[in-house]
Amino acid sequence: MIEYLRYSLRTIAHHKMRSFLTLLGVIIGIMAIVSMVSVGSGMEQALRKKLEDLGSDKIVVSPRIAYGTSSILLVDADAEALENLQGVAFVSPIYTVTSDVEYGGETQLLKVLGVDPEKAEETFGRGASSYSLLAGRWLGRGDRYKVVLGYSAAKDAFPREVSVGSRVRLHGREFEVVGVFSKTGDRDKDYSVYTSIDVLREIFGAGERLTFIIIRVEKGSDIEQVRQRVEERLKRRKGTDKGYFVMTQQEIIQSVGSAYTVVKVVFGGLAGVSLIVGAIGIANTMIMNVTERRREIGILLASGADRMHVMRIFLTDAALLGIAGGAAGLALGYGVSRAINLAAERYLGEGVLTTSVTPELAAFSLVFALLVGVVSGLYPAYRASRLEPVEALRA
Amino acid sequence: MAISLRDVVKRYRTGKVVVEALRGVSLEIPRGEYVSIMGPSGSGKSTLMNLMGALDRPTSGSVKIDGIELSGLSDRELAVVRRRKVGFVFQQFNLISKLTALENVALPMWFSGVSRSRRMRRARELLELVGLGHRVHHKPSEMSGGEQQRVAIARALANEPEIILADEPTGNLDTSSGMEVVRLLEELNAQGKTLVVVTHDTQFGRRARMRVKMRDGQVLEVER
Repeated sequence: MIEYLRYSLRTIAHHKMRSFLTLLGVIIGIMAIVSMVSVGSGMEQALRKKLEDLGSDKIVVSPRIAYGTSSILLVDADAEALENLQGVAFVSPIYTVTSDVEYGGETQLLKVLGVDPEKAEETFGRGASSYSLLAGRWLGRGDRYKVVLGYSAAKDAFPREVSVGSRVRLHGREFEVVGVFSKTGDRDKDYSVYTSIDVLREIFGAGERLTFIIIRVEKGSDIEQVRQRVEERLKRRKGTDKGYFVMTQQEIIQSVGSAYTVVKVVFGGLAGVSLIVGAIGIANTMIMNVTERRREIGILLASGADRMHVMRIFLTDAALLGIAGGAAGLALGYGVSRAINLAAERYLGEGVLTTSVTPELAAFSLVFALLVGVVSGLYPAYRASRLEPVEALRA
Repeated sequence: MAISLRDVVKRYRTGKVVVEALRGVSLEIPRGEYVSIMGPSGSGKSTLMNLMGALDRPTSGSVKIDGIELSGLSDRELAVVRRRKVGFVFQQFNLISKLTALENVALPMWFSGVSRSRRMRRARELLELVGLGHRVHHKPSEMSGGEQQRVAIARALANEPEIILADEPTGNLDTSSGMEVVRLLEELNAQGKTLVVVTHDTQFGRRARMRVKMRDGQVLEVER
């Protein structure tokens, strides 16, 4: 085996330019696969992380936003009706809007989350990598025109930094800043503003409407059973099980995962097409190679090689070319992936899109490139091995 | 007998024309013999040489190399016969250009499964034997024609074959390097190898103990 590799290395070194051109298709194909899939899995990981931050004991009730189905309206009474369900520890209704927020003469559009002030800390302050305070305090019982700002909403959104004790104008009303959160790395969270749900709905005339409901399950309860109870209760109240969904964090992660699998498959498929073109390129060059190396084949046969030796020599060439193309494509793809990262960080902000070349992806691309090499080398190698010695020497 | 041919006929087809290259050749070459095969081009010399080296199969008739009947052998078995029994020297040298002199000489031993270290050691010895101990790591393109042909002779000896088949070995060489190649081949014959040379060069051909004259695919006469 090692002898075949040695021989192939000589061949490739002897025809550097041709080998490189042969490989270009594979290099580009693998590069495309690696960079595209890395974007897909980066997006997936980012979203997963975001969802994991919710906490693994949480159930989310949310209107379904989809074409063809009218989403239902969630109201306070729906949230209240869930409170006494068995296994439910805690129900926190949330209302969100995107609102103009003014500070120091500058107005910005920011996402505002309204939460029951009493439940704010319990809703957002618990679970893995959730919020912690950088300064000030959480919202508390009876807080009305008070806000807590996400890290970036305080530090970056306005020309002057907003500090605890400052006053901001939210949709024309004055609010006192009572707290600022530490950086979470999630751009969406860091640019958000948190206030009382009642005040927020008053300002926006939202009545008793809710955007979603976060439920925490009692310790020791089976989250799936609780989810079913929540579903049943809502179905009874709303008279339908359409137009909203009740999901545990795990389910959300799964559904997101499968959505991104589709993205990855589509991206990978597109790149795969270019790989097929690359494979045809290898096969084509290899066939020309056989014609061009007829004399060499004749010499090998006259030196005592049999057909299997010749076949293996040519297959090794193809395999080596494939894996070399794979390695080069992987390196370039990694470079592209890093470049996308830097660009995303620069123009979209930190943590929005972090591409990642996983070890699985790297291994897959190498194996795939090797396979492409071998498959496209199969027929040319067979042709080479079928040459008659005398015929080959006559070339 | 090193090589024995009986009623050998070789026909091949080029396009629609069937060429009868050999029309019934019988020839016995004893071990250790020094044979020259001469004749005009197209007389079937090279075809005969290819058959004697198991590079090709006869259309009919029998070819035996060192007592082994070639008809009925598979491609793989033919390769084994070439590997063990025959060393070839060609007019075009036929070295592999990407390999060094040493690697070219070691090549036949790769196929017969000799370990790398032994292969390299023996290849070096053989190159020293042909007077190229100082050119071991040179590529063919860096050597003169005479040197390349000596590398080819060293390669022919790699698997210690009984028989050396040389097809116009001096055809591409100037007189002095041609003479050197002749001397080298004759030395090998003196050491016991059966030497068969196809040549146009009558002066070279006359040196052989057994001289085969060919015309139109037949043996015209055998002189001893």
